[in-house]
Amino acid sequence: MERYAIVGFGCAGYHCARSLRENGFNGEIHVYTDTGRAPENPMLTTYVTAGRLPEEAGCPFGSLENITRNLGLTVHPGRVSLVSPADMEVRSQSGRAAVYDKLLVSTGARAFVPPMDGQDSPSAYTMRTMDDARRLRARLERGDVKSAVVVGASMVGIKVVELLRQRGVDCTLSDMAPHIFPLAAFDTVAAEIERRLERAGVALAFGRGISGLRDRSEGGVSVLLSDGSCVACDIAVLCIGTRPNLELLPPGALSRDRGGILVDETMESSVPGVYAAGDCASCTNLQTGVPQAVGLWANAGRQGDVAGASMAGVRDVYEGNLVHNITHFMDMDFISLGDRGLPGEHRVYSRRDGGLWLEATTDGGELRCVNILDCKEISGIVRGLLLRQLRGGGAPDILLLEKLRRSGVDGAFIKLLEGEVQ
Amino acid sequence: MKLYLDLDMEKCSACGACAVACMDQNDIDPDRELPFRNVFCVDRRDSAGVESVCASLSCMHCADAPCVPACPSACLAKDAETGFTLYDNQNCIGCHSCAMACPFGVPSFNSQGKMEKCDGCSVRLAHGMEPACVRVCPTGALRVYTEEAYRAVHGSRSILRVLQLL
Repeated sequence: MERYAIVGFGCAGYHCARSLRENGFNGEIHVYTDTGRAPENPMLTTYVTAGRLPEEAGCPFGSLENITRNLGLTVHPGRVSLVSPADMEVRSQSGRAAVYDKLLVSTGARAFVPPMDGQDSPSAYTMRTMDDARRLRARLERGDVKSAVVVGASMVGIKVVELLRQRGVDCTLSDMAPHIFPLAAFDTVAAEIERRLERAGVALAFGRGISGLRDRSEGGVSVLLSDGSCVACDIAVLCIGTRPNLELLPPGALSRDRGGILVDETMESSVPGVYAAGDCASCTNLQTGVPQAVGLWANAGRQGDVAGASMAGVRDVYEGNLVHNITHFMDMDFISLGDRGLPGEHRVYSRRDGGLWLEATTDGGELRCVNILDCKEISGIVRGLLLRQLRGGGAPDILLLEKLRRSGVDGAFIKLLEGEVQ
Repeated sequence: MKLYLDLDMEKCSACGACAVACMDQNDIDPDRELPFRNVFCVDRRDSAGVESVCASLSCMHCADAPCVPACPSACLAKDAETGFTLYDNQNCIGCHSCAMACPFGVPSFNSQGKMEKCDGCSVRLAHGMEPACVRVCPTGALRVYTEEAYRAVHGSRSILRVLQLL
């Protein structure tokens, strides 16, 4: 009987296991999970921290017991010390080693904390796992957190700011970049978001990176910034970014690109029989054609589905990643579609207070990147039309364009979608 | 028994009865919430001239619905029996990822910020009744078909089309 292993059991690992069974694989599926718990969604950690979701809801596929039974898995809780693609071997820290016929590496990513003085401060927190959520929640429930610095003006960072403000905590949001959401937002849109945040009482410290943390004798911590300034606070939450978990692989064992394991459209790595999916995998960016890890829940799921089908010998392909984000915070929605780094003419289509903000970069009559503020209803249609454009599809459906019109989308933007603007 | 909630655009007059019935059935407050069903009457212009297109659109209940894997809380699922895209918004966090995933702009959000959308009137169906929009459609443009009936109707339509072309 064939034996397959899945190393790392998050969204991609779960989807792979399910896809293997759905595609007729009847052999053994061995799952290695360092948490020993059901797959968790990192996106839900801030909601669990805020008490808006019970902890079990942070595991959207249900309990590990049910998953194990329904999919017929053999689960190995505990840390893995080595994954050797050359030998198709997985070795656990307890010293046990096993050889498999095929492997999936779905080890995900972890919160990145740069090496710096004070990085292990008891007043420093990260926000990636349910353990992180539990730890910060326990600290907040003590009721003595009055001030916080959130480092990293990212989608996670802003959700942490939101939950802290809801508890009445004074917040400073800091980032090395000059504006919020530096990888997704145009400067003009970022400036509007920042204006709203300041109006809501959030202090901003941009253009300054974190250089260290220093515990204070009276309690709390000082966050040292690269311009020599420091901000004293009760807690610091580090939301600086993520890094793929690839330390289990011997150096050079699998080809990598931009930090992730390079895979083809079937999610197979440079070693036949070894697959990768999720936040540790680099797939083609649909706009640039360049491999890139785009850590999104839906991407990880789809990649796991494709990996599972491929491992089961059923043809399926992952089309590639479109860089996109939607984040709802403090009564606003920020949506970014497409690669902000692509060159193009920047155009403002709409700036309506409390209504729709719509800005885009275009090149040769085609969309490159779109920023939307406050009008989530149109996000899916615009994303669909951007994908259609990338796939070389024909004219957009007039009913969808009518729906955009009814949502207040500017006529010039609709003409662009219709292909009437060069 | 797989079901299809179908619209025959040749019969639709965009009268709006379906949208009103939908709002009534789902207790939608038109002052604060968006309806699950929208009615359109727009002009399509091409080299042949102008054609009025009437349509009533709600959730397409896509076979491979992109909203399902997009939801971080697994609130959306395909119903194994009917094939409709159903939801349980108890754990909805209002992140709007489903809205971003839907190419038809279907998901809407209630006053609590939780996602709602057309579920094909699954409760009515379970009790042997038609969806509210189908029941009131005066021209019979909206229909619920079983998979078998759908294939039969659409197959004959295709043949009719071929005959017309000939």
